[in-house]
Amino acid sequence: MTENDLIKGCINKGRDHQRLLFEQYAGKMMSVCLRYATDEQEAQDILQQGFIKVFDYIHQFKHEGSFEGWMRRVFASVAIRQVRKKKIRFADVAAIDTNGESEDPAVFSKISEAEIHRLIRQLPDGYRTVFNLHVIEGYTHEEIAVLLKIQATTSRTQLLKARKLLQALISKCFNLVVL
Amino acid sequence: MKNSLFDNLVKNKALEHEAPVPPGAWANISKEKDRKRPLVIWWTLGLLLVCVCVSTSLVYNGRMESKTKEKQLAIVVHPGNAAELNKNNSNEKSITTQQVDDKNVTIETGDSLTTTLIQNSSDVTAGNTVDIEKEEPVSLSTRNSKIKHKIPADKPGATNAIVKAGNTTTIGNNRSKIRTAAKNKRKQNVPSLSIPTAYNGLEENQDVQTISAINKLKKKTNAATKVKIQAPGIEYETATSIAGSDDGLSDPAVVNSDIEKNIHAGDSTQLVQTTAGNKRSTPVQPVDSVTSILQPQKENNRKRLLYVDISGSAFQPVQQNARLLSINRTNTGPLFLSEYKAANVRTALDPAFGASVALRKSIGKKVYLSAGFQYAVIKEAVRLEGEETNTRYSIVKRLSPSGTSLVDDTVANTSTGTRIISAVNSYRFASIPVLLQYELSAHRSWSLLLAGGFYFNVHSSYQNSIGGKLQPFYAGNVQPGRKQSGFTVDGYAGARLSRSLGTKFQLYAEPGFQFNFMRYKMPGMINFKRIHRAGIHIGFSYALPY
Repeated sequence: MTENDLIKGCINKGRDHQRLLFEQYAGKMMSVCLRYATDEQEAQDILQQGFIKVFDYIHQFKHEGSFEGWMRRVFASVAIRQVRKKKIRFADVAAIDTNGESEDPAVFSKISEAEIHRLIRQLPDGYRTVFNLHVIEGYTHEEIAVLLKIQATTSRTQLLKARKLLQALISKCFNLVVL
Repeated sequence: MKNSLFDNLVKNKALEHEAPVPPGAWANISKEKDRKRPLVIWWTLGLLLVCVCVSTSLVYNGRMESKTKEKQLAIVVHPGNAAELNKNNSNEKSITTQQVDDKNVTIETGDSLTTTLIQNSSDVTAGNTVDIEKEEPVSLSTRNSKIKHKIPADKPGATNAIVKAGNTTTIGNNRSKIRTAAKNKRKQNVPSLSIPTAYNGLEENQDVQTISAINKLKKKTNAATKVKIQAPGIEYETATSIAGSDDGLSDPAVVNSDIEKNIHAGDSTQLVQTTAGNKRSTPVQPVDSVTSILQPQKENNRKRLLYVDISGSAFQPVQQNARLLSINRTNTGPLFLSEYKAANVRTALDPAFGASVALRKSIGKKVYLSAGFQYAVIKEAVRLEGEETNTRYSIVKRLSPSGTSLVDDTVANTSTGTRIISAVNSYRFASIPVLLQYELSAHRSWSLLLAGGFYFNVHSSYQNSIGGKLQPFYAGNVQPGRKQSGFTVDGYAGARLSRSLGTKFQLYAEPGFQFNFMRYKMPGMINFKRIHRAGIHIGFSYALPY
């Protein structure tokens, strides 16, 4: 069954098609949810709400761009709504001391997706949210400012600090692996 | 490494990642999708109910109007003028009464009753046909009806009383636009009328061109109003019995009836010429007067001041849960201990019903104060998923360390597994609604009110059907309440659309939203929460004799 057939089936509210769609994308969407949520429980809630929203609004998908990308946007919006309820504090966090830093891109090939995912989840709420929205989802700082009701400059600052902290965490992780 | 490169590498890794999906995720989504269907059904049913109520009241109102119209069209022909009227119908005996309804004209002469089918017509020829063309202002706020009647010329009984000044005339306002009831001060073109007797300079049976209200009608006091009657070149003022509504204003029969009453009472002070103009010199042939047997229904228009409202409510509760970390349950028995820890807790509120009764009192021109009692029950579907450890103790005999005797010993058998508990619990609320209502708009029988106020939930109880001692753990410092029944306050806003049914009853539908200010924290609750309600109240009001 092609992706288009799957989408058509979901538009027609076919429960089997919806289940197939869920099975196909649940893993990747759960990853999105976990990146925004603070715990697994919250991620499950976002996953559930996200899929219900996808099924309800799938007829609005215009086949412009990838379907997975559209789903990610839907899940990100659901996650942001959830995140906004918690009133995140965009506070500064002390940097982690690392023994050595590697700026070699080759380091990344040795780190698995799961490891990167785990490290992103270790970022504080404010850092993580801005990092996810800007780096992974591709939102601009102005859009993030509107979404999170913060200043665009706050978004930029949070991103810089998030990036620095993540680099530090990766370096630390890499060193540990080497050792 | 450049930031953009770093970002791209992280992005690619993050996008490729797939996290393990928790078991039962699809089941939850599927269940949630199924839950949404009844919600749609409930709203559809509610909407249908409102439509049925509105349609019923419209049909009921249509019947009432039809009866009224029939009454208004009944005209009386004075026998004394019959000979003159029937000058081209010498065979006819004197006409006594003539009644017109939608399809037939019934003419009662001295000794016969003729019913004639009404057809379309244009002009009337005296002695042969009658054309009663009437744009009947049955109800200003509802609709205009145009009824054309014709009695074929071959029906001798069709000779009519209202033929005058040559050979044509009409009853009814041929082309006038009927204005709304609220615009009483505006002049309205009304049917040509014949004033029966000469009066204060108005010639006998002179045509009246317009009738307009002088003062705004006083609905509340039900006081009669004065009208201005305009004949060509002349204006008169006269008192009427029209009160509370302006329906009669454009009803020539009612006004004319009042004029006649004044004349018959010999009260010459009530008809005063206000403007002297050029009187029309051409005399009108004396024919007949048109009077009405319709009297204005004053009772309908009187504003009641105290009502009792009885309603049923259908609503969808919306919950705002406290952040629950886990919930523990402990069951103990003889030689048995069960410990259960649920980290996955879900609750969902089902569509619910309530019933209320309230007293509503007018405290201003457009403001009402309402207070009463409401009882509502909300069902809550609960699903707990967690680890359970059961321990059974048994007493066995074993050899003592010395090996000489048997001693009692306890053996514990422990089993662990995942348990899913599904249950339906319920909330019960006894509330005192205190509301203010503002009448946003009111027509003849429809009115729209905005309502706002508070629901004081004086008794809120929670019934948990899950056995064992439950202990929830929340993020933050959330502590359960001490009392089994909690007191909370809800804010309320809604809009009431009501429809009068007769003089004392009103049917209403009131969509509204109830916002819960205080969290319910009764002991035994699975998850402390605030419960808001979006729904509709459908009921009726009864006007008390106050």
